[in-house]
Amino acid sequence: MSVPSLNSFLEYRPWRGLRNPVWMGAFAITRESLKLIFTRKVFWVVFSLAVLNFLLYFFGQYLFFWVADQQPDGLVRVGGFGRANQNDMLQFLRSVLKMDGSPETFRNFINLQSRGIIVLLVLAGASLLGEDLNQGSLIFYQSKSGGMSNYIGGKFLAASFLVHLFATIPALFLFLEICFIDTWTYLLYHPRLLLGIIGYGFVINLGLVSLLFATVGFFRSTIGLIMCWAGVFFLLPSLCAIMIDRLKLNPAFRVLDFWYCVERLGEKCLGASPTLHPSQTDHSLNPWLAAASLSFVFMVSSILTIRIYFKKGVES
Amino acid sequence: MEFLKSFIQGVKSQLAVHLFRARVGHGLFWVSVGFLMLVAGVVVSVNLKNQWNYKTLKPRGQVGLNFKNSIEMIEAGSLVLGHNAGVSAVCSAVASAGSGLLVQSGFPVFTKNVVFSVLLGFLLPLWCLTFAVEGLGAEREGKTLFWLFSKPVPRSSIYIGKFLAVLPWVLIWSLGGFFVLAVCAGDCGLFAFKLFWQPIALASVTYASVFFFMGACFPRASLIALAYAFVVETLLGSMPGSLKQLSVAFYARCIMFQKSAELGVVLEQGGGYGDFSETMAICFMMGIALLFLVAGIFFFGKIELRGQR
Amino acid sequence: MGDEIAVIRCRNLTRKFGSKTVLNNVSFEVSQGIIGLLGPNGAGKSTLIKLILGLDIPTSGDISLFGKTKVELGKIGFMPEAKAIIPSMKGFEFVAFAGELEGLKRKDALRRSHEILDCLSMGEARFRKLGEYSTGMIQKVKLAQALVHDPDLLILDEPTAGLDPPARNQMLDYLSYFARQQGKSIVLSTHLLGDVQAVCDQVVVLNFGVCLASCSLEKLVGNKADSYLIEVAGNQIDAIVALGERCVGSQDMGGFTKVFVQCDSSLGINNIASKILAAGGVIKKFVPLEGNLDDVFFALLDKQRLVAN
Repeated sequence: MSVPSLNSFLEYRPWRGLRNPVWMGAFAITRESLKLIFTRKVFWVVFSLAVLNFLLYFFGQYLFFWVADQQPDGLVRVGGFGRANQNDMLQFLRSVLKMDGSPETFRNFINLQSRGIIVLLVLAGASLLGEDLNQGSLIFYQSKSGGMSNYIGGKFLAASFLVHLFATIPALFLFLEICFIDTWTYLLYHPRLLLGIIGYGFVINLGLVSLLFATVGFFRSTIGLIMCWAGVFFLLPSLCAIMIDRLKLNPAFRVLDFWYCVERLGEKCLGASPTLHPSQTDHSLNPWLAAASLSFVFMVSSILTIRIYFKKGVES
Repeated sequence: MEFLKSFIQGVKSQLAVHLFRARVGHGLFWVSVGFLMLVAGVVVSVNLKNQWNYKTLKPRGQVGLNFKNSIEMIEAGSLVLGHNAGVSAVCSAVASAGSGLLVQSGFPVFTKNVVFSVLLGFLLPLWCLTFAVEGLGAEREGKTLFWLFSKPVPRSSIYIGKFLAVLPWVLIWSLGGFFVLAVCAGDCGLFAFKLFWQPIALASVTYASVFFFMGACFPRASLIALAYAFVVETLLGSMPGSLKQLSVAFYARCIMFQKSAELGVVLEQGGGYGDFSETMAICFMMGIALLFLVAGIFFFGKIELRGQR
Repeated sequence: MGDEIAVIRCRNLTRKFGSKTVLNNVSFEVSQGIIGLLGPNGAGKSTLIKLILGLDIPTSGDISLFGKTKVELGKIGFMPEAKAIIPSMKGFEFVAFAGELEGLKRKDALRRSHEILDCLSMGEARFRKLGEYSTGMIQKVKLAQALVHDPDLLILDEPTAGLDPPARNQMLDYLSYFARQQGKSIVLSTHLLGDVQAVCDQVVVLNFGVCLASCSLEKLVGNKADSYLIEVAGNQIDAIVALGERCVGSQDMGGFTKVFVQCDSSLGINNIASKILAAGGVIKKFVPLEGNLDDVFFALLDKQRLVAN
């Protein structure tokens, strides 16, 4: 190997072009993080499950409105399988699957989709955020003009995009579908539903993403993340079930159950009636308490995030 | 003879180094502490409300009166039927027996809700995992195995030495955690602890053996161990049918089931826990522990350090 | 030096972590050129760099870059010591990404990225993923990402770490090209004396958080005729103290001490000799110094130790 002489260089050209505002860098971070997530297999697995669920609801709704539109002669042809009772089918779709364009439809749909988001974030969240902390690439972002605020902003946008990709956007599609199949008066009669879908999306977004930032920042590994989220999404609900459903303690204890609070708030956003176990009285949590619990988690997570990512002067 | 000497030497050196320095994954220890504190807090708050008993539970499913109401009704019946001395006496006897049972009912309620489900199905595997996987897993990840293998002691001694060094930590942590929960629950908890500390200890040894095997023999062992803990122990372990016989927790539950059955308390109807006698369950658990220990020694001896520096 | 604006000026810079003082009252001023930031491991180089970049806040004192106390990161390019890459990105994408973070438009950033990688003769390797790069290529990409927005000041933390000799020479060639022909200021943090001697104009020597010297390389190494090596025996410490500022460094050789002395017109050779003799020292040898950086560096460190004692 010979040492290259200076003559072998191509000339370096100074550059004094126009620059974007510094905060635009956040979008670059978002784009690159999403690219990273899209290369992961786990994303496509979870995504295809989510798509399946979406299709189930999509055609379920379609079936509901189609059956409702048939001549009220009591029998409907179902493909080549013969005839089914129209009222039975409507009843099945309405009360069992709850695919009748009611607030409960959207609540159930978004709840199911958000399970997918949790699995995705818990498995891929560490590669979204944690690896920068582990491999020391954080200093790469710190030394750029936007610094950590761009980094946090960009990553927040990326994670939020995933949440909305799974929950809000498909729910809005379902809403539009009903508008097209039924009539546009559906929109007039249910403006709250439209806002509720968006509102629920943002509740999930804030709750999950802030939790993700804090836990990834604290544990820095997929293992810690999984353990911690298992505690939040598995242990807490089962403890609350023991306390409230079995030992009949005060339902206010449900504030401990973070994910229940998120779902409860979503229920309120959509105006859906709470799910009750058979013969159970309404033990659901006061939505204000749920909101308080969620904002507590949000605040603690934000403080942790700021302390972890904006810490100045770490000894190396 | 020569082999035995170096074997003992290896075990001794591993014990000396690692017995007092438990290796715990970053933050995992704190998650374990957090889980313990959370569950302890819940147990305390239930205890404060004096709810560790059948008071609010309903005899069959979710429908109808709960135990307390039924007893009160029987008591009321004895008053209403006061004119008939015989019926009244029977009613009040049943009522007082019921109230006595209510006071004593803390043990089954606590056992069923906390020990049987949360502790065995969730906390214990995670606690054991926290300590056991890192035992040799950290050496793998930190790529210090090469150094360890360059020592003139058999690999099996390294494996056993480390396992023995990890074991006390696992036992202290799981029994200690159980004890903390028991103290929080009060008398019924302490009774449960006295009765059940042996199966819990046995289960933690078995878990330790399983997780230690994973740490020694698989790359990314923590993930595999976590997947095992959640899928096999938590999910399969709580499924109806015979699939749960795959989980370690099942055998611990069998022992506990037998032990409480001797006292006349049936912890779970139709769980299949009665199919295995206590001795059989103990044998099964020890068998699993030994199997994984031997398998671990075998595979650990065969590891090729590829790409390790 | 005085007529142009100082690139970096530190005044009484102190940084404490708890009771540990990492930087102690560091003051220096450097102008355009390649500035070697020299010191053994743990001398406080990385902390100083973080302070310059504004990633850390000094306990007391202040820093100004180009005469301004507010750090403009857009004018600085930083090449970290840590790997600090995103393994799944391709080389040119990574450099363009760095440009975008500095506010370049995507199109400009991509064009700049290719230009700079051409300039660093990266060839086709830029289309491969960073995870597959060798250390030499990673260092080049890290240099490229620091250059992409055409900064005035480049701060390089150990740019030659882990490079083989040809790659190291190439890296040093690049640095002198950018400083001499493109007019960039470069801070080169290193513990490799050879790197500093090869390319640096100015040197800042740090040890245990204390700035031992900050001057031009020529002055430090003493290629000029007014630097001398004196071997002093007898009352060595008093003699060194008597020389005060004139003594640039000393090295304890056991029995006698090598003292490096800087003279100027106001204080001639005779004067220095008489000072040493007056303090009770015995002069064994008095020769003009044509040493290299190694001698001076070790002398500086040794003097610090001596004074501290």
